[in-house]
Amino acid sequence: MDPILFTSPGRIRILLVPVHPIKASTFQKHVELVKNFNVVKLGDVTPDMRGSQSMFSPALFHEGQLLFNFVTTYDVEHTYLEEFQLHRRIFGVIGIMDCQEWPELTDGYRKFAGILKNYPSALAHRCFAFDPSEHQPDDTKGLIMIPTVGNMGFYMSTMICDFASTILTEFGSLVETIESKTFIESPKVPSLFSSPLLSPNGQLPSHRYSTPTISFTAPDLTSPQTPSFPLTPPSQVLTASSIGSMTAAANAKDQFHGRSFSSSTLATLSNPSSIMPTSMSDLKLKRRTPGRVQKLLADLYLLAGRLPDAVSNYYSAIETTKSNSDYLWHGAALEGLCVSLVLLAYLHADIGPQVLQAPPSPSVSQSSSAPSSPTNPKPLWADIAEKYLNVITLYAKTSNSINNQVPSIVYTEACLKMSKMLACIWLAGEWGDEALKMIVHGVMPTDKAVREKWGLSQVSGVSRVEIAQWAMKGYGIFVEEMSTTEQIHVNTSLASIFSSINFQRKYAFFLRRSVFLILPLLSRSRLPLAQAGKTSIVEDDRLLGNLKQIVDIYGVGDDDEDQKGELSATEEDAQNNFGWPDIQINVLKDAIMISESIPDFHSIAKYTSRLLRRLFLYLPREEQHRLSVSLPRIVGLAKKQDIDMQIKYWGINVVREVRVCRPSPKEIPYPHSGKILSQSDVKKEGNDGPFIYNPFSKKNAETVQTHLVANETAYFIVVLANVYAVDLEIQSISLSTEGVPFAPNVISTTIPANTSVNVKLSGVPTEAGELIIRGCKIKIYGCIEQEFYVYVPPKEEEIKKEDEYGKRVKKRHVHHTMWLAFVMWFFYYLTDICLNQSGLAILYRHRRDDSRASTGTTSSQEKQQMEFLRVTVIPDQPLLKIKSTSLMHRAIMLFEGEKTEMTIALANIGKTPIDFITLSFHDSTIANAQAILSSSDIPPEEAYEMEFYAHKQSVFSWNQSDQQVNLLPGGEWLLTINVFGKRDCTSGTIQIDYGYLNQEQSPNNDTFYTRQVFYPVLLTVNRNLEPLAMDLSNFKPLPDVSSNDSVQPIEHMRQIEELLRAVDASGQTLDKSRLESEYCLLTFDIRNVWHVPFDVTFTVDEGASGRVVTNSTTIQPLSTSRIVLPIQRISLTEGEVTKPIPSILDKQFVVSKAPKGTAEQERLQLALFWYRETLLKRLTTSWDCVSFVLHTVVVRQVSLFLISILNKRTFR
Amino acid sequence: MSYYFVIVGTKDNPIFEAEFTSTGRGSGSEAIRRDEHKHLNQFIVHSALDVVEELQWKSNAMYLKSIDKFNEWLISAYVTAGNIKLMLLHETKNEEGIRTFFNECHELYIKMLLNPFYEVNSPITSSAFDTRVRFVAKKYL
Repeated sequence: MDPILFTSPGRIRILLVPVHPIKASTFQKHVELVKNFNVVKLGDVTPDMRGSQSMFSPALFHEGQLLFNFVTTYDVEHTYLEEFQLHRRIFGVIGIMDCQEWPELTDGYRKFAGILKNYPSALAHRCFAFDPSEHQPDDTKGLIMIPTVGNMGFYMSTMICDFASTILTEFGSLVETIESKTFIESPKVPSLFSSPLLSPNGQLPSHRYSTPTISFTAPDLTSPQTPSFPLTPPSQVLTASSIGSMTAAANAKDQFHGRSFSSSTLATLSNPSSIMPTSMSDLKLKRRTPGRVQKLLADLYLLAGRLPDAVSNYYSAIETTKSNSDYLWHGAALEGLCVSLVLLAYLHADIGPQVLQAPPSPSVSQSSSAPSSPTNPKPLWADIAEKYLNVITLYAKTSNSINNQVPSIVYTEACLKMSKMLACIWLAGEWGDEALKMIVHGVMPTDKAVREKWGLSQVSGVSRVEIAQWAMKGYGIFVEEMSTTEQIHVNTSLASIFSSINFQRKYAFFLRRSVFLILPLLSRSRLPLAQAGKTSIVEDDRLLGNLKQIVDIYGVGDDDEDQKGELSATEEDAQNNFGWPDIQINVLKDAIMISESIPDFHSIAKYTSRLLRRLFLYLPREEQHRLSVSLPRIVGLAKKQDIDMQIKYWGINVVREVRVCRPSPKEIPYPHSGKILSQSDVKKEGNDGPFIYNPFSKKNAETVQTHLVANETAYFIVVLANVYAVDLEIQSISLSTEGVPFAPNVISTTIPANTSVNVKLSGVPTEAGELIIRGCKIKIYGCIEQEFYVYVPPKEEEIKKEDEYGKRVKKRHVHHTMWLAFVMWFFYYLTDICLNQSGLAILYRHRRDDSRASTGTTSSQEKQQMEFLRVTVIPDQPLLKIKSTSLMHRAIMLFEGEKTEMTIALANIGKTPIDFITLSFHDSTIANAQAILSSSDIPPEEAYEMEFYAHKQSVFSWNQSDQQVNLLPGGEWLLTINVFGKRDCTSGTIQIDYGYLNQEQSPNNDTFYTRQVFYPVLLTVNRNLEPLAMDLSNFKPLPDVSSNDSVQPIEHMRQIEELLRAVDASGQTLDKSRLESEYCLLTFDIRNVWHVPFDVTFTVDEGASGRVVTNSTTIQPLSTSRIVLPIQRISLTEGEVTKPIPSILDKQFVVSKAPKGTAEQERLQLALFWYRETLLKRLTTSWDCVSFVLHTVVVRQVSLFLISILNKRTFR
Repeated sequence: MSYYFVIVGTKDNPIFEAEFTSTGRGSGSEAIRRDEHKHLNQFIVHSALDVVEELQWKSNAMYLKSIDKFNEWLISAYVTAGNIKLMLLHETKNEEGIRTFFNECHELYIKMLLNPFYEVNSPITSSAFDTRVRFVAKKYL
């Protein structure tokens, strides 16, 4: 039963004692049974037969009730109060005996009789024997057998009524004793009279109690100045000073606090003879005694349930004590009166008005500041509150008195009772039966709705502030001077009051204090227990439960992380910013300390890791180090005690990012759609469509998704971050994946304090498919291996969007600073108001949201947003290596226009055969030409020339053989590549794409992958022959070449001869007139700029006629020779001439920005272009050279193009 | 005579903390005691928030006067429109002085809010603010 129950003065305390041997559980069961009968109606109690002592006869007040307070323990410390507050006394003892344990009941009863001797104050006793067996005779006197069969309830209630009757009878004799007393002392705090010799240790007391200056000055400082806060602590220290020296007092006090409850000490304490009142106070005492007797009498009436008598007696007691200015007893009588009034109200007894109003009104109204007017009657509780205020004031007045000082526990309890009563009213919502029931029986509702309500109080008019004020009145410095058990009692009572009115912070505050007080007692009692190998699990669990509540309220409670196993990703997540960091650190440290003293290793680990995780920002480096080191130590200790414990990593997620490491270029697999499977397809890769700008084309190679290849080691870059001030030793880290099977490689590393590191992790996917990278499996020193998840960061576009928004906002800030101040102020004012829901409400709302999220639909949405990294794994790919080439140092030297061959030997070094190889080439000229083409506005004919040069003349070429490539693993393959000496070319690259298509098995439209090998070649192209001074002239054959050959110059003759020979060679003879009309002469010089002779051959294709004219000559080094070629006249139709100049690459047409000529000029240009094209089509030139290089005869067969040097001269 | 002043945000988080001691009496033992009480002070103020939350709805005034007590300490509170609580732990009653002190501090806090780089509910690290609060404390407490 709650000791601060408001109506506890109206309850008769009955001690239930076990008659050993009895099992604890059996005893508990029977105690619960007996407790059911704690209310006895006076009407049911048998009236006392002995007329003389029928003072408390129940017959006089039938409506009344006897309230029993069945206890199994009681506070021996408060024995000294029994004379003052009768309800603290043990009026009866009921022994509980288990018949199963006692074969001979008489022996049991004898034992019970022995127990009774310890309780001399008991007026009545019974011994209940439970569970009797058949054969046990029911003949022991004084022993009551409680049968297990039949109507046990009825039987029990009868027994209790009988017991009550006995007690009421004995009350009569008690009254006689009280009335016969000459002196009735005020209670004394017993510690003052206990001999210092009894003190168990003479050590200096702790400073909290030992600072005498503080103890003595404190009451003066805090003596009541205002009526609203009568906070006078009744200080017994002053009395102590009157008796002995300061040290003695301090010693005694210390001894008192450390005192174990030995009965011998008690005996000295309760012995009234040790109190020696001085003669001065003797007289006073004598005068005061009658009032005190009345008060005690009223107390007995109250206990006996005779409420009307109690009330009237209290009134007279109040009158008397008031006139004697016996403040202490006056207050006590007022307290009793209040209890009686409440009980009357509870019983709805109709004795109220006349008794209530007649005598008390003058006395109460005089003492209390606000007189109660009969016209506007206040509710009873308000009246009681006023009275109690009076009580407190009265008690406070006694603080300076020597003999009649109020014991601080009485003062405190008075405050707490009032507070508790108000709390009951608040909880019930109004002053009514429900509230009264709670007040009388002390049953608090435990349903959630009441617990969680906050904000404004109900119609009752009782505010929680009032409750809190009353409660806090009961707490002062004097509480710290009480004994430990009393302090625990006060603190827990306060905690329960605050808990009931949902003042969570105050509740936590006092709960924390209680835990601290309980702790030393627990650990002291543990010592022998631990030696015996037992631990009191129940107590520990309760203590830990309290701890959990405390940390919860201070905002460092369970964040589900312990269960979920998912680590929060960032610092912001780790601390939800709720609460007071300093306090949280303190609370968690306390929790660790308490768990250590129990010791409960799981809790230590839990709180330590929570402290590190949530509050590391506020912890200095050393502290972090100490805590992180302590965790493995805890595991070690736990292991020693055979507790298998594993600690999860305590910190926040160390893995910040995982990305796929791009393999080396020759290992990258490139995807191709399988539909067009030809060389051209692969070749065209660099050539993306006809448009100059294609918005859909991929920007660069970086955005190409990286694929992993089955059965090949894949590398990942993992960014690890450590936000702590201590190094994190990672014993093992490996990738954690799902999807296709993956064999990760494990490495170990260390993340230095406050840094982040990049780690390269590797692993081998063993099958093709999709690989999902969930994160990493990490084992940090001292913790178990855990999975750390990593999610793909949001898309770049989203971030950009936010950035832009932010920028806009910022810009505005900058632009409008002038009137910003006002706007901002208003804005903050508004947001400020929106923040109005505050404090713990936020915490609870947060939790509600969390719980909803974990169960409801929102979680799935969030999950969708948070995605793991997904990587495609493609089937096994071959790997190719260039084993050797025919080139030295990758370099080749050529004459312009020279053709040669080079060979490349390839070796398959992978495990997969290669059935597809294709080549593509790049050379240095293309890029230059492209650059010129795209950058400048050049006339279309020049552009055509450029394009022709760049794209139609390729440095490298490859005659793809029709033979199916099948290069088995380990096999080799020889490639022959033609090389052409292109002017201005300095380097080139041979790109070999290869793959394994497995065309027989898989259908053609699958995507397939190829890898690439590059072979760069350095080229040196030398110029050897230069055409010069080209011209076209009319062909005018001489009248007769053969007849008059004397005058013609030699040179001229020779040329003509050659020409004719050429015509003859074609097998046809042309008459001169035809020659003149159909032929013209193309003349040009060729200079040999090299130092070896070249044989040059010209071939003119006659076009439609099909004749070919060939002309050969040898050009010596550094000499120039003139070439004359007869060419059949070309005539193009109008349609052919006006065709636009074509583009070699199928590029988008761009209107030229070059200056336009007249229409005539344009036409002429076009015609010129087409005539030239036709001419060039007919003319082929090649040169041969026999050189001696390195003693080898190299015959070069080369075709010489003269196109590019052709002057654009009209040849008409 | 010592004071402990704290501005508490909406999430029970302290925004600003300061301790003032009246000049002169700074003996060694006093300092030790104060250090020991520092944590206790925080706990006391924190526990008083319950009362503030109850009282703030019952009063139109921002200054709630002395709302709670613990041992010899009294706790005065002042709630701004934005539910920022100014709490003062003190030992003697000085209603008018504390009211002025709170008003001045509220003004300082509003000026703090005007700073576009300051976010509501975040700790105040400005040393100027600290100096000014101390000045106000010296003046009125």
